[in-house]
Amino acid sequence: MPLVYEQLRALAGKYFLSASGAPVAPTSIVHEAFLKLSGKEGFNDEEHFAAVAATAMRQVLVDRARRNGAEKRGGGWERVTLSLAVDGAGEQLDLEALDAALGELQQLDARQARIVELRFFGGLTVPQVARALQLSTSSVEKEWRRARAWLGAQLRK
Amino acid sequence: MSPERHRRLMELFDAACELPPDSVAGFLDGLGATDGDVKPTLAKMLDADRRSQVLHTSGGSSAIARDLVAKAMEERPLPAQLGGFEVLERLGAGAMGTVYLARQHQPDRQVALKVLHPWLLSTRAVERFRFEAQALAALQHPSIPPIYAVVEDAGHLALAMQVVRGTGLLQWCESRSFEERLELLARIAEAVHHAHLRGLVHRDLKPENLKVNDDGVPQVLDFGIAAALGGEAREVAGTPAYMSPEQVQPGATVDVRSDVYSLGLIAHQVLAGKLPFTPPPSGLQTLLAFKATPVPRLTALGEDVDRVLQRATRVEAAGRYGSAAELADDLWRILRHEPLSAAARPRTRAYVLTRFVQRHTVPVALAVAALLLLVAGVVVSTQQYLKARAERDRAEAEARRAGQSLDFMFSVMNEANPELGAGRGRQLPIGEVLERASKSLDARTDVDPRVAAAARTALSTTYLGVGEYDLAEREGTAAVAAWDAAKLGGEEQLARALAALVYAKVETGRGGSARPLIDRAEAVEQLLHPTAHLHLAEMLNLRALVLREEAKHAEAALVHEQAIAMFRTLVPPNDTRKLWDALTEYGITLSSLGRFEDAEAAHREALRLVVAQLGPDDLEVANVDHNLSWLLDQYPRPKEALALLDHALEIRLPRLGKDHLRIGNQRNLEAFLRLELGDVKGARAAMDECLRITAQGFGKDSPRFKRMLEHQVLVLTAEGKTDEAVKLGDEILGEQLARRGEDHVVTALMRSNVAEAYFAAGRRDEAVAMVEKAVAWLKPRRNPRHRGLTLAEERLARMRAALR
Repeated sequence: MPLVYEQLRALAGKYFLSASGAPVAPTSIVHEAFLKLSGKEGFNDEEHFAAVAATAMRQVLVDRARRNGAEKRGGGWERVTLSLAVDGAGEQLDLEALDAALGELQQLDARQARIVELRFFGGLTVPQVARALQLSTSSVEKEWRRARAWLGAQLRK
Repeated sequence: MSPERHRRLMELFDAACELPPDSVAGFLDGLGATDGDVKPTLAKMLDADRRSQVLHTSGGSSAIARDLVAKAMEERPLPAQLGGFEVLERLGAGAMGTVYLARQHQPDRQVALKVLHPWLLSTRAVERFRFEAQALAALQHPSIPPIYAVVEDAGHLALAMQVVRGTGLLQWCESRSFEERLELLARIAEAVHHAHLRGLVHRDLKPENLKVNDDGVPQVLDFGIAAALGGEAREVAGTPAYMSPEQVQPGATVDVRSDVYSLGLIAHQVLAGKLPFTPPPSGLQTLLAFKATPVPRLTALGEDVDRVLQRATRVEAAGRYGSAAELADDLWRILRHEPLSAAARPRTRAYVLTRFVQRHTVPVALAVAALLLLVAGVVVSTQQYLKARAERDRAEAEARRAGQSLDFMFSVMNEANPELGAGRGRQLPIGEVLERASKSLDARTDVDPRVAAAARTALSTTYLGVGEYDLAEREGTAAVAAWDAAKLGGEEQLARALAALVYAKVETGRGGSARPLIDRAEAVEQLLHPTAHLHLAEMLNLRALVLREEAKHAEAALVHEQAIAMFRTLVPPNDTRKLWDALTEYGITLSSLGRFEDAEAAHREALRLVVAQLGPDDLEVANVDHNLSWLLDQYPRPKEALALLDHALEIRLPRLGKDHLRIGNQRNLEAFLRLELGDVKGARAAMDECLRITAQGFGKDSPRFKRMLEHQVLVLTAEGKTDEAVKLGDEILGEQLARRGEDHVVTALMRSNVAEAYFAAGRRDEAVAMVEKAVAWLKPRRNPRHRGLTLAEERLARMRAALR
């Protein structure tokens, strides 16, 4: 886990420093991290890796958002595209708020929170999430729709 | 909120989702005191859910991108008018924008309006969009839809482009042949190259972006994410299944070779029917697979296709074709049966030779096979000598000969190869290839006499194979002389050279002078094979041909029967080729005797043997069909004859290609049959094909081409171009007279045919005299059912009736 975290942090840094504000999907960062780490830490299965990395990725992104927010609030920090799109596509997501909402959701329904984490930060598809959590696709589908709507409601408060 | 209330909220949410939209408000209002606490959250959730309804697909990142697009558009509907364009309907959406069908009023036309997603308006996508407009405007290519205008209006940015109507790539390919698909791919690659040259990399090539318009011209759509060559290209963008490894690698340089990779995958899909990788469920796996795995080999479509696909889809860009044009070039080469570019495969001599032979089909294949056999023979005996450890000097001489044979063969082939030799950049007609081989034999004194003699023999049999009998005779004579000069060994080859020479003489109508040659050939064969042997049977067959040529048809038929009897006992039951050949010749001799029914029986037995051995679709079946068709024309039964020819064509066309000499031959007979059946248009089409093919293979000065012109005279006459017909008729008849004189069957037949043109041109008395002369020659010499004779007699009767 520390190695994954370090790797993601380094990659995220590289992206954000170089990309002059262009949208970056966390998926590509996770993917690149996997390429660098595959085989090393016993990650031979990218789904497994993504499931682990999702949490780390969330930390990395939220840390960065927090730091950036503190340093240059009001300035355009590096954009991150997430597949959330619950609150007006194209508007920048408030990652800190998202993180807080996710934290709250974790208390209410840990499984929903985990699904969101895997979808947003790990880049897993619904069937992949279903495999990772050993759930049926239809129940992941259902929980995902619920959680997304709930997050949307929280973020529009 | 507690986990329990959260669960209740979720249940209510599920229930509300099931309701029709107009009942939701009532549902919310109806929430009683027990659930009132969750009502505000539920309302917001339903609102969020409604607006992201499109999102709950299970697709990967591209589905999400699509959804984002749809959502963004939903929130900012397009005005009915945009920059003077009337928006008609939404056609679809891509990563950069949404495409609408719109109407322009001046000029009045429909256009495709590509509107940049509003949510991208503040990003550098705008720059890219403007760049795209600029770059697209610089493109002028039939396969790239032109851009009409850049529209900036009401906060929207859009491109007005030509509307492409047509069929999607994959659908188009479903009903197309392998060659047509290859050609389409080559044209697509050329179009992409055109864009590359102007600084545009497509970066999202996929079947969805490729169409074929109603004229069959491929269309490359949506240079939507093209980035300036060498410009910044860091975003991971594209369609996962077709992305190149470097597109997946953030920060890696993406250049034209990325498009080459995508084209390679598309080619794989189009040619093999599927992508090399099974479509992965998520972006992550796809990207990983592309990054790590080389595209699997595809050997089912031949080595060259595999090479080209491999070369296009190397994981390392440096290993790929340097440009789409190079890919296109190799696709064209496969189509033309030429060797691939050096880039795609190492150019070994054997490989170049193989492609060369494929391109020039039968004749060169014959020559090469003959030469290779010779070389192999020498090499085998070399090994035997070495094994015995005796006659070491002689073994060395053999080895040297083998080397010389090879060198000679390759010097000839290279000379004829448009890429290597003197003929650089153009295709040589086969005749010229062989002619060069012959000339270089004349010129070279360093060639071992046995090698030279063997090469002459091969040339002679090759000329025979392509029907250049004069030249076959010349080379055969030279071969016999060379074998005589070589003095030692080569009896087998000498017999073969003699046989080729006899055959050539028979065909050129000089069979009369072949008698001593066939005697000698037979003597050589008897020396080699004292008892019954296939070679002896072949000599009998050949002797029958000489007799036939001497117009001793009855005697010839008897010798044919001896040959056939010997073949019947000698040919193995699983290879009756020699027997059916002999039967065919026998049939031809019988038809000369007017014994059409017996002839038909012989041809039909040959047909049965061929089908039994090779199946109903083999090329050899077509050959027998062709012969049988010729026989039926003698009866005359032109309708049946034409049906047989059509069948032969059905077999030959896909295997030989439309330019093959045999097809040229058969078109000649077809033209005649169609004339007999009154189908002048069909006759013209067949004749044109015949002349085109023959000219391409031998040139317009060849005797073979001239022979084809005899039917051309008839077709021209039927078309009413009588002056042209007379002029041409005079020309070929003059040449025939100069070549063979009056006392020849071809002269008589040709005169009868040319008379048709004279008659039509109004020179009726001359025409009648000509036909009379032809009949006078034919009647005492040919049987009364001879088709040339009966045709001339009918003609004469017709002309006389018209004169009266």
